[in-house]
Amino acid sequence: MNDPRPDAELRERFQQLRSEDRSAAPDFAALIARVRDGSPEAVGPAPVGREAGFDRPWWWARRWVWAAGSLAAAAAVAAVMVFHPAGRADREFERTVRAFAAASGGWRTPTDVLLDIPGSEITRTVPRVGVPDGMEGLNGAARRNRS
Amino acid sequence: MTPTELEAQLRWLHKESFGWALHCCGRDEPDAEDVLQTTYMKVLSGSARFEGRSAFKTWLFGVIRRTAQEHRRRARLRERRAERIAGEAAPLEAPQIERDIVRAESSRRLVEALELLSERQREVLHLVFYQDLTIEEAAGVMDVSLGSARTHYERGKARLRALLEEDKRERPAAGR
Repeated sequence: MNDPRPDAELRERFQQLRSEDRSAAPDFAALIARVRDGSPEAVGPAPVGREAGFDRPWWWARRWVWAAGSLAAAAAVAAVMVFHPAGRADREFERTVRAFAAASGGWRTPTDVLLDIPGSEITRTVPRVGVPDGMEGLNGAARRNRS
Repeated sequence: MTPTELEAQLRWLHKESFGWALHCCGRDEPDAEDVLQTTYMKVLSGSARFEGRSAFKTWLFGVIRRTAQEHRRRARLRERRAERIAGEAAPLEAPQIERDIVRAESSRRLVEALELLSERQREVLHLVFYQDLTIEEAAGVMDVSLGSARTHYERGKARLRALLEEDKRERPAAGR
């Protein structure tokens, strides 16, 4: 990896570049004076995201106004949904129907009777295994006699 | 170190510091001046504090290097924003090699060859050959291990030599 050749030539080239750069260096006193002045240039480029009018979107300065406005609009929509007269009438009707159904022990429509056909209870009950239909009473009596 | 002593040290190292800042800024002189100014402000205001863990020059060069990195990052962000605002993608500007100053042919070729090396290789060669630092001191400035700095140094040197010789063969008439 080490190159056996001396580095004199490279060093010489770098030193030539160095002497040219030295002549281009700014005056130290002027640079320090700018630092002491605290001029805008002295503090260097502004931190990212703080350059006024350049990096922020146009609405940024009024962000609180926009946030408050959005909140107020959402509250207004919610209030309309809750207190609108049509909504209130619907809710009152539902409440009346529910109260009537509770009072009548299970409300049924007048035409429900037409749906009752012979044997329709099969569709609404679960058959039990081991005890024939209509024999539950006898079975209970037999159990009592045994005990 | 008192503020007066700090300022005296900065004055003493000013030209070397400018050379290093110039290197860190892709040889852009106005940028190098900005970086140097910001560095001096950091040093004199105490936001960058020398604690004597290394030589003052090594520490100062480390501060310049970090400041230049911040400066480049900000410049890139500003360019991107400006492009967005302008609505057109202007090509990113390449490092401005020898734009404003007519340099000696030899230096110009050296700078061009350095541009073909990796950043680490460029840094270590600059610190060793231009700033006369040891490889160990250069490792301190670059914030890398000594072994890593040595590897970059050897590889960079070999590649730079090859590039300069290739250039010499291609342009024999121009000489050095």
